[in-house]
Parts: sequence; structure tokens; C-alpha cells
Amino acid sequence: MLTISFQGWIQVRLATDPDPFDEPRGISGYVRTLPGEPDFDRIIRLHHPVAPRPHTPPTGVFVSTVAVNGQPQAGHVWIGAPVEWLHGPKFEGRNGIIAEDVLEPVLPFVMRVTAAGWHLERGVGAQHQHPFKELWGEGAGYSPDELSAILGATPAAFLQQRVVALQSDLTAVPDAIAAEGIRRRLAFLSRPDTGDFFRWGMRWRYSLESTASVSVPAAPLTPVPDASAPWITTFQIGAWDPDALGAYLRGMIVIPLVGAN
Amino acid sequence: MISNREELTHALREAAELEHGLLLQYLFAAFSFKRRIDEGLTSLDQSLIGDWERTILRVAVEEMAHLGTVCNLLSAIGAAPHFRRPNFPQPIQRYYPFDFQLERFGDAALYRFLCFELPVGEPPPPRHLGAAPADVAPAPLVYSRVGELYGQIKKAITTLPNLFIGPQEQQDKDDWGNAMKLLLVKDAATAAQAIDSIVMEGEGTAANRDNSHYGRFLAIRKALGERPGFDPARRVATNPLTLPHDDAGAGVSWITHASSRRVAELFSYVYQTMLLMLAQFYSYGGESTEQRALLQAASRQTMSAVLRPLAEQLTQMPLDDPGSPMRAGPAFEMFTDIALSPALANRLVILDERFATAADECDVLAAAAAGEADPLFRLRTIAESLRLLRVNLTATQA
Repeated sequence: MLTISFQGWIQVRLATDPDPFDEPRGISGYVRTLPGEPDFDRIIRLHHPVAPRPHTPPTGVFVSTVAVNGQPQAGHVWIGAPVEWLHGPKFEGRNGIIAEDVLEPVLPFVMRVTAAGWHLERGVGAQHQHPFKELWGEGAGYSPDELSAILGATPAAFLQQRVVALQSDLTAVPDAIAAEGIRRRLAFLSRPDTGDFFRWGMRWRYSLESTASVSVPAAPLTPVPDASAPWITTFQIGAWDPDALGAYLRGMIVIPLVGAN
Repeated sequence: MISNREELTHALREAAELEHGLLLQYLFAAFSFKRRIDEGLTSLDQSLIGDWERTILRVAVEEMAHLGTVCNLLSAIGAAPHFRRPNFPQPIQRYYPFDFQLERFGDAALYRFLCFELPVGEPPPPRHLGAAPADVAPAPLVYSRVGELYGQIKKAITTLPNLFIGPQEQQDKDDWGNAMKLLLVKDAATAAQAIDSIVMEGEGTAANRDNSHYGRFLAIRKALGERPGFDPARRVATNPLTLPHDDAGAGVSWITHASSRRVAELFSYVYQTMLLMLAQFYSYGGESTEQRALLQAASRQTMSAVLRPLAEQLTQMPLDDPGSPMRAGPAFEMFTDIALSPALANRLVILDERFATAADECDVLAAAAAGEADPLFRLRTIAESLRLLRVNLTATQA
């Protein structure tokens, strides 16, 4: 078995209930665009965030560990490689028509890892149909200890650092649009429940069964992924930060190897 | 003076119609806002308008909760839920002591909203300076404020004997996922609390009206008044209709543009379908717990994923001549009465047919979209939502 673990911050710019799921600006839900920002598009981005807000965690999900048959591969070339979800995946809840909050399937789901001559790409396939129950998540946020490790502080302290930085920006920013954006962010961050959002989370387990795209370097001892068997990915998204329009993703993909039982 | 169960039922039905009519007028104004930079807004205007729209939509949601609470009150005294109402417009004193109109956002609409929510002891708001009808202010009839009607209902509830004969389990106590405060009515004390809560939300207290409906509308009107010349709403026609209705008053704007008319008819058809689901949810005709949960969810989802997007598209579509600046809007037409089949199986078949019809019509209209900028383009997504809702409802028939 080849086990690749990954983690990092993602960006998700989306409106929330009771706004229509495709609401572009965010009106009646608690997530809203700021003046001058582009419309929401609901896409879950693991890299290349759109209009990232100042003083928020950098978006990027990367391989953190690699193991072959349970043996950690320290210094493996994949460690630090980008993990991607392709084709604009979204939380497809559609105001609960497909699934309610914290259950939404991630669709489409095609995962790719590339590094140093390796290329692994596979998705869940097209066999799934509404309401996609086998692709639903289950509510499971990070524990307080996990949150502290991710944030490097308690949620309250983590956000307070941002508040201080934004207040400092406000004294210097010459642009009326940027200043209004900062004021709106500070107003949101002053809500007593802002830190509570970090406790929200979801966990998924997907069997990747579409046709795999695999290329591996021609080294004699390279473990060769088995594209004929399902690959299993499990992942958790939590630490939801509605000011940053982001969350923390942590997961792994387990891939059978050719010739292994 | 309400002196018996029959008169109390009549008063509560009128209260339900009022809440229903108010929330639709608030929604209509909210859906009329300009949304995009290419509509002549600055990005700061866009955010400010978003704040106003959010406030009005929130008040409308609270009116939905009031309607639900009034249905609970009806249920508690052994009466049926009430979702019927006359079509717009309704001139003052025809049915109610208010001028009910579907009117785009602006000072004239805000003036009427303030009159609806006027707290006892507050002076009437300054008149709208534009072309407001002279008879727009509440008339000194049996009641002239929403709160006054509720005062009479409360007096009857706390004095009439043996009123509470309805089973409590037939009341709605869910928050519908949107922080709506629906109150369970068990007896005279809880009924009085429910009424006090409705009035408090509308009027606030003499010491603090800021968060009441009245206070929030007052704040928006003040902010709008500080921006002379600023027109944040689309040129949406007043009281748009697709068909004549016997119960509608004068002052109608006919939607004659072919596509707009079809979208407006589709909107009202789906609106009536949602009312049927709500009536079924509140009526307890043998539906299972799962079916009731699904009816509730489908009603809420239809509001967010179908009705609001359709309304937002309508306010970008021509009323009549494509070259005219006048836009159409959601007419909330009642083509027929909201009446449920006594047989559960028939109710579900009818809902299934209605969702299928709406989805098919949506597909036809979406196919005519000239591109992503065409308001009809969003109907593709709305059609998907209608089909998925239909699948969900069908699943409960098995």
C-alpha cells in the first residue's frame, strides 16, 4: 500500500443559507463579498486563491508524509508536492436539495498529485446519482487540540491577531473601498460567535474508481500503483474561517501497489 | 370586539393574510434591488444595497415566522391553517385598512412599510414626497395597525373560555433552519406570549425600536434620504400581473413581453406549489413524519433555490416593449385557491405533476437564453433544482 497524507488551507468562496446556493454576492447568509471583490463561484480551491483577503492563512494543500506498506518514507520527493482537486469541485448541497449543511458531497471529485516524474490522477467516477448519499460527508470538526495545532493558537487568539492587523491597516489605508472592506471584516470579527465557526467540520471517505492516470519514474524499486483496484481517500475539512473564506483540509489517499496482496 | 371562536378564527385568518401580504411586499421590494456594477452601482453602493436587501429579507423571514405562529394559533383553537389571500393590488379598505401593493424599493414603499409596522403612540411617518396615493395612510377602521388587530385577538384569547381544543402535536415548532421563532401555543398564556412576540418584533418598545421591523425600515429610509438622487432599485413595475383576477384592484402593470410573461407565470405557479406544500405540512392529512419533514424541507428549498432566483431574474426582464426601461417582477399571483385533496396519495401525485410541469417549462425557457448574460440563462440551474426536488418528493411516495 502506498499512503500519501496531505494537508493545508483551502479557499471556498460561497454564499450560505438562506441565500440561493448560486448567489454571487452573499446577501441573506452570513458569508458575503466585500466591496470590490469578484463574485462568488463556490469552487473549492486547494491552490491559487481568488482575491485572498489580507491577514488570512495562505491557501495551499501539500503532501505531508508518504509511507509504503506502513513504512514512512522520510525525505521522499513527494513530500511538499501540491495536491490538487480538478475541474472546479464544489460542496453540492444546493440549499439542502441534495444534502444539508455538513453533509454535502464534493462534486466533481478528481484528485491529482504530481511530483518529480510521478503523476497520479483519479476520481470517483460518473456512476453516482442524486442524492449521492455514498458521497455525503459526516459532521466531524477538529478537536480543540487539533485546532490549536492547526492555528497555532486558540481560535479566539488566532482571530484577535487578525483584528489587530486589520485595525492597523485601517489607520493607513488610503482607498475608500479597501477601508470599507476592512470595516466590514472588523464588524464580522466582532461577532461573539465568530470563533465558533472553527469547530464546524466534515469528514468524507471516497472510493476512487474512475480510469486512473498514472505515470511513475522507471526506477527498479519504485512501487507501482495498481490502477485496477479502487484507491481510497479520506479527508476532513474543518477550522471553517468565514472571514478568510477558507478552511483546513487534512487527509490521505491509500493506493494498492502492483504485486501486493 | 371578538366575542366567540368563530370571530376569533376570522380575525386570525385575517392576521394570516396580513402577514402573508406583508412578507410578499417586503420580498418584492428586496428583489427589485440593483445587484451588479454594470447596473450603474459603485462597489460601495453594491455593499450598501446588500445591507438593505439583507435587512428587508430578514424582516420578511420574520413575517414568515409570524404567519407560522398564526397558523399555530389557528390550530390551537381547532381551526385550519390559512394560506389564502387576495391578489395584488389591494386598495385601502377593500379587504384591509392598508394599501397593499407590490412596489419596487424606494421611499414610497418604505413609507407604506412604516405605516404597516407603526407602533402604538408613534406619530405617522413623514409622507412620501413623490407620487404616493393620497389615501395611503391607515384608515381609522376596526383596526388601523397590525398591532391593533393583534391587540383585539389577544384580548379575545385571554377572555374567551374553552378555546384551546387543537392537538399540540399538530403545531409547528421548528426553526426551519433560519433562526425563525415559531411559538408553540398550549393555552391562553402561551397564546398571549406568541402574540406579544409578534407585536414586539414588528413595533419594538417605546424605549427601543431599533431592532423592530419599524426601526429597521426607519433606518433604511433615513439612509436613503441622505442620498438624494440615488436610485438603488431596478425600474420594476408596480403590481405586475400576467392575468386579470376578480379579486385584484386597479393599478395593475400587465406583463406583456412574451418571455417575461412565461417566467412570471412560472414563478406564480411555483409559488402556489410551495403554498400547497406548506398547507399540507400544516394540515396533517396522514402524512408520515418523514413526509412532513420532506414537505417542510422542500418548501424552504423552493424558496431559496427556485423562487428567489426566479424573482431576481424577472426584475431584469422587460415588462412589455423590450426597448422600455420598465422591468417585470414576481407577481405572486393566486391563479386558484389553495385547496388540498382529502386523499394523501392524490396530494403527492399533484405535487409531483406540478414540479414536473415547472421543470419542463423552465427547460423550455432556458433553452431560449442568448448567453450567460441573459436572465433566462439561470433558469437552467433552476430547472435542475426543480427536478431534484421532484426526485426527493417522489422518494417519499414509495
